[in-house]
Amino acid sequence: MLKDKILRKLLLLPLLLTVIPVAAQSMLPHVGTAGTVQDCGLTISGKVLDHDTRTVLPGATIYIPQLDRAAIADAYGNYHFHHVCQGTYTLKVSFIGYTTESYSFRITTSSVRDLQLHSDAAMLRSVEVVSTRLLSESQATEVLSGRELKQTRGLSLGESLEKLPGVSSLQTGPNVSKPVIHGMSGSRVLILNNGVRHEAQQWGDEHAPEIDALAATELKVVKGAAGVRYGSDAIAGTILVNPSPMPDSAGISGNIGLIGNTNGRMGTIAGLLQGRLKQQPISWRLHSSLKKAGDSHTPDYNLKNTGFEEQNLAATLGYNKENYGAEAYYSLFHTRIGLLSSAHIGNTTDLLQAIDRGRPEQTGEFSYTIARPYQDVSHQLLKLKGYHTTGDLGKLLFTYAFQQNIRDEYDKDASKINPNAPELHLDLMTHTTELVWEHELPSAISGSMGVSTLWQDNTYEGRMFVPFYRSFTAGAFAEEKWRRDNVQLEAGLRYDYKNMDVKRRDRENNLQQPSYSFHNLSGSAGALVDAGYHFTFGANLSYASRAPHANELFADGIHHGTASYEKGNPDMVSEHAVNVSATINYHTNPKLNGGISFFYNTISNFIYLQPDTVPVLDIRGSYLSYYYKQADSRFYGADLNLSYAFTDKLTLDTKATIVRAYNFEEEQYLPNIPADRLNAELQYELGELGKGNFSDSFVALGGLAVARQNRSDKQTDPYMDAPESYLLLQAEAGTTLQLGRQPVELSVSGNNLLNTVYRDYQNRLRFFAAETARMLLIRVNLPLLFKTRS
Amino acid sequence: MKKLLRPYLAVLLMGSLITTTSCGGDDDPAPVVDRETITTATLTLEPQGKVGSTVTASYEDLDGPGGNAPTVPQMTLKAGVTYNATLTILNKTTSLNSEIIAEANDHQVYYTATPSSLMTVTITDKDSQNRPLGLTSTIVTGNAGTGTLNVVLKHQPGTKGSVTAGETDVDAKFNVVVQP
Repeated sequence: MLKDKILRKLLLLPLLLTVIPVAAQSMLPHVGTAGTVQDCGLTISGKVLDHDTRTVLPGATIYIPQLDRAAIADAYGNYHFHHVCQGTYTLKVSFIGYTTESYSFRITTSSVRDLQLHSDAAMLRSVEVVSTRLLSESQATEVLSGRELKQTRGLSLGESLEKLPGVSSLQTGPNVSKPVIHGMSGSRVLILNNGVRHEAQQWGDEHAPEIDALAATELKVVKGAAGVRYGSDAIAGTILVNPSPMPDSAGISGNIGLIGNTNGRMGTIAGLLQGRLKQQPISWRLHSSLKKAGDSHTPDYNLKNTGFEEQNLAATLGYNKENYGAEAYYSLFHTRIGLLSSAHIGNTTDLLQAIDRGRPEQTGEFSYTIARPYQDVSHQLLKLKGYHTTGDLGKLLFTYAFQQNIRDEYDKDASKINPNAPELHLDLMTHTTELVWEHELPSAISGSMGVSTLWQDNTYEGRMFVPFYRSFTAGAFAEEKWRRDNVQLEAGLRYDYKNMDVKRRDRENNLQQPSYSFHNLSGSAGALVDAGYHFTFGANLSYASRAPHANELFADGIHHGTASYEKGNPDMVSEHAVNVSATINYHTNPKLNGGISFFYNTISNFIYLQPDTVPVLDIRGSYLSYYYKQADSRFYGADLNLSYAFTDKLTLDTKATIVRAYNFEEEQYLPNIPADRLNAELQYELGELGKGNFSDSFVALGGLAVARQNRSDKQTDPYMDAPESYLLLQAEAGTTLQLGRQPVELSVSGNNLLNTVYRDYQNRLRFFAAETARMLLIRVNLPLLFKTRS
Repeated sequence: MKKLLRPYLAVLLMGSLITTTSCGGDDDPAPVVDRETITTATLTLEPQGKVGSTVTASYEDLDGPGGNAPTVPQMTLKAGVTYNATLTILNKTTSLNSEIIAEANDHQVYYTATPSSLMTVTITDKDSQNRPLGLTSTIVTGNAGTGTLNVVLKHQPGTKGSVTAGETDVDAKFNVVVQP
């Protein structure tokens, strides 16, 4: 019997993690408030059952958000909703010890629907991860939240996202990492920071996103073209960086986090303080984090000048009434990043000598000093948001955001003319607005429609790499979902107009002012089927087009880091992507859970950097030359995510990613595509330890295997072959220690435990140095509990 | 809907007004400042004794990287003659030799003749630690023939002595004809 009970509580490792949608209990006062809704005389009734044992669950709560009504299952597990109209309703069922689940039904006559619940192992672990029966979209989506996200604390945004299948990162040394989805990055990957399109100099390979990952409680990745909702240029996908919702009950709470990293001797302190007033529906939040790191090291040598420091601040003020509300948000991100000094070279001969040498010319001793070459980047974001409900049908939201991104790059040698000024100074200002109507119509249709604008002004000082430009984009979109029984269909359409006025000087210092107009269309259609037996199938067809970016049109300069010369082409046209994806999910099972998604992305006029056979010569010698080029290309591959629960304590998690990218005009593979990778981790839940002083304890051991990128040749990589495959060992352990009333979360994670010497294909510094050695990340998290005055 | 769009447009217009008036974005990009301070490497070869005339050749790239490639100059020398050679590094017309001499401990010029029988180069100037610098040298030509002389100026803080170390400041190639 006991075993039975344990079995029932088996781990249900969710594939699709969503935050528990509704605290149904708080809706209970609405029971029986008939008269405020239409009385059409139909009845929905049935039993709430345990999925495995088929026993009834008296006391379970059933909530219908469309009606804002709730019911409680009686002593026999029966529930009733009377006076219901025809239409499609979602029944959200929750019960203590069980996973909250949502069922959607179309009701035309009085119906009997039995609802089955799965025991909630997640709750036993006190982790807020819950799976829902129907996904919200047919596109492949991955979420990092809860403990999985906590285990990435102390890593950059790009490194954190690497935990998700289909996502890798493009690195420039140990401290610059930018996310890559299905082999694409930069302006093809949109990042939504707290709901705002992050606009920075994201085109650069060595430009990491200027976002504080510590302020997020959820990182969500929508893979594949997601242009309809977020802008037609989201060809590869969208990353949503979401903070936790503002506090909804009066009182003050907070959090202090300390993180240390042995490799680079990094120290991080992060603090959060938030509250809500008692008398007024006003909530507030302050978040800040400070990071400081010195040189990282490989197993054999120090990586000179690879320290960094970062300061972040964010403040939110919210006012929420039932029908309207507003929010103001401000954040400041500032970082100073040292770049490996030996990677700053003069010409191709120097590059070949660096490759021959096999290690950096100068290594030196550990130091916190950040010397030339380095980057100094700051990003400010101001967001104002307001909403108003539109009757029972939906909500109208307006968002205005201002962003300023200032990027200073200091070369290895100071200019003799002005030694303190950066050699490259870029200043990008962005205003965005968005007006969206989110709605849920009675006819089983829900969706959103809206208009958005984006206004940008880019200027530079010093060396020219991207020109002055101003651009204005206006877009209009609509996307709708229709749901009936176990099928969901969705479709969306978007149109964007983009205007760009460029100002630049040619080689004779004459001013040129070319102007561009682009019309970009994006659309998507998808279907999601709940096939029963814990299977869901999703398929999506989407189209997106991206206007060329200013650097692709007008880049004209040297990247000292790789001794390469980049040249744009002013005659570029928009690229167009048709993306087909299919996803199969096997979920909410006691033992085996998993999902696999396939994608096939055909991009016409795909813009990429093509190495030229003729090097660029100047007085320093020769530079490897690259020019922006358009060619019809295809990207395809698969992402796999599997977990198997051996017992309720022992679980194996496996993630794998395969990407192929091919230029079929030239019949050759595209450069810089992530190699095949497999990540597996065995987790053991220890639960309570000692006399209950330790809870939520766990240990995990895993490995990451990355294959050699065999689809690389002299054309894609003229100077150095792709590095060999590698295998890294990683481990984690964590617990929550109860110190009086204070729970203290402690965890430690170790990467590259065997001190393997390796290089990664997607690290731009692989020519110069090996990857970092063993690293231990130690975290202490102290939630601050304040007594609420009563 | 009309009523709702009106404030939206107002905010939008306000936004563009702020940006167009406040940020001075109407300025034009400044003319490109020539940060590639080295444009020219000039070799002057003065024969010892009265065996011929002084030979001067310049490896020059005035428009910096990415524009026109530098042209490879030609020097015609006499066989079996010892020349006093001077290398002048220029920013257009201004000599940077004094700056290089000031940082002599971090710089060295390397001369490589191909084939090696073409000439022998011996550096005659030194830095403060008595290591070769290479702005002046003696060049002894061999038998008649053709080939190239590669002149490489390296910036080598702390790593002086090998052509493979440090960063390249100048990598200039001269075609050489040695006549009998």
